[in-house]
Amino acid sequence: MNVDAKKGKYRLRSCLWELTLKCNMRCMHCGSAAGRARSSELTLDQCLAVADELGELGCAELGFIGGEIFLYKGWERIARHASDRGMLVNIMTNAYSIGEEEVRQIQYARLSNVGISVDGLEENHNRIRGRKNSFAQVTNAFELLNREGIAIGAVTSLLEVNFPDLEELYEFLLSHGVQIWQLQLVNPMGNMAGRRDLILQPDKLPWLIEFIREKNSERRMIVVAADSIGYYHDDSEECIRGRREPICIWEGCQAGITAFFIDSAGNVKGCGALYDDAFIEANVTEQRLAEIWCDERKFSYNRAFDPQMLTGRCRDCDVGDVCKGGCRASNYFTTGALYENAFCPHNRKPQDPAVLQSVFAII
Amino acid sequence: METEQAVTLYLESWQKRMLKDFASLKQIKKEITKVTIRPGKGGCPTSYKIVPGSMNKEDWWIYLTDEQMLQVKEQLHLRTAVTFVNVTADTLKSGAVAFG
Repeated sequence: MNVDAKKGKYRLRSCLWELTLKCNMRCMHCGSAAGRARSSELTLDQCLAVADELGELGCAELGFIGGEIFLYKGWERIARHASDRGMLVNIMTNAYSIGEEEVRQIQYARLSNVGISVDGLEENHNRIRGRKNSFAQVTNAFELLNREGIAIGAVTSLLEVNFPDLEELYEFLLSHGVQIWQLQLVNPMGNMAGRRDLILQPDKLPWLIEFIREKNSERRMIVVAADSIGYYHDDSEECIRGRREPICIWEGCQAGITAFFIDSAGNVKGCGALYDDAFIEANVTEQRLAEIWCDERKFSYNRAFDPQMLTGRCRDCDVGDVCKGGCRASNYFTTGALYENAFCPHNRKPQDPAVLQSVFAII
Repeated sequence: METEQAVTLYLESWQKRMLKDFASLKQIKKEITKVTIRPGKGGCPTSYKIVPGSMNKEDWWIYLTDEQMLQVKEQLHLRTAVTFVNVTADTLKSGAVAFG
């Protein structure tokens, strides 16, 4: 079936693509419980074809993740293929295996930036990542990438244990040439499914949002809140979402609206954080991407959203119809209620027992 | 931001002076008196991981006056205060922000 994506109701802006689930680390917070490759991961030729389809769909931005991206042989060819088709491409990596050869691959791929996971200062990073030298490897990667003038970003997944590192980590990242830093919450999924005691408590969110706002106002680095952090707390929205639009504020989860995710077996979901098979819409080996994207019945949890679907406190919220209940993945894995965000500080007292109870209750 | 609306703001003298620092505007010879913002239909982009287009060394903020803040909020039907507008080479190129 031929589908003209340009006539579709939804315009694809970005795609996040997990090339492999194979990983050289076993991080305690890994949402996808990465380690071994999936049994039916896409071949290089299949991936090149998918990259062509993304180009035809008008995808402007493409990010590659793993597992660990460098463990997929030929990743740079796929990335280059996409870059040559006009997409802005980057990767996320744990940086453990970045050496001279990997730097050459990055250059060949013509990436816009390289995102590196940094989960705290040395002690916490190594503990979370489960390898004693992982922080040293990150530092080494920073030096290699800076030497070659490759733009670097950092992502920190927040837990109770590494939260106190933020101030010092900011200075460390600044001194190592990091240009953008994304802070994100860890959802109780994957390796964290049974460790709710470790996830960041909602009472930290107002402080965290203020931290992001304050660091952005210094204008030494772009500090960005991931989609799981916000929303409309103390008029901070415009200060925490980055600078990609003239006015950048949260207007609801973009899964299936402007973005989607492809896993290493070719399954298509609205977002990479929705790590549950219930969110698989289709598979690229069975259907063309344009058909999947332009089928208005897909991604119905967002495309068919109605404010009446909001539950709990989000139902009565003054910005509920704009915010649409925050991050679907955070909601789903925290409380199971897709349209209610337990971490939102807007209109709430952070220490509200009802909020804490909802987050830490074992479903 | 799901809107076709545009808002035009007439710049104060201090805003005009600050704009001279922005590299991409240096090529504009005539005097700048206003800025038009067209948020378009792109929506706030997803940030599950760092996105490829998230960095832009040539960026700038235009801080708004109280009057302009009110104007932006009302004309774009926003539910939150907006105290500045992002200006980047990309938003200039796309026409989302235009000076005149």
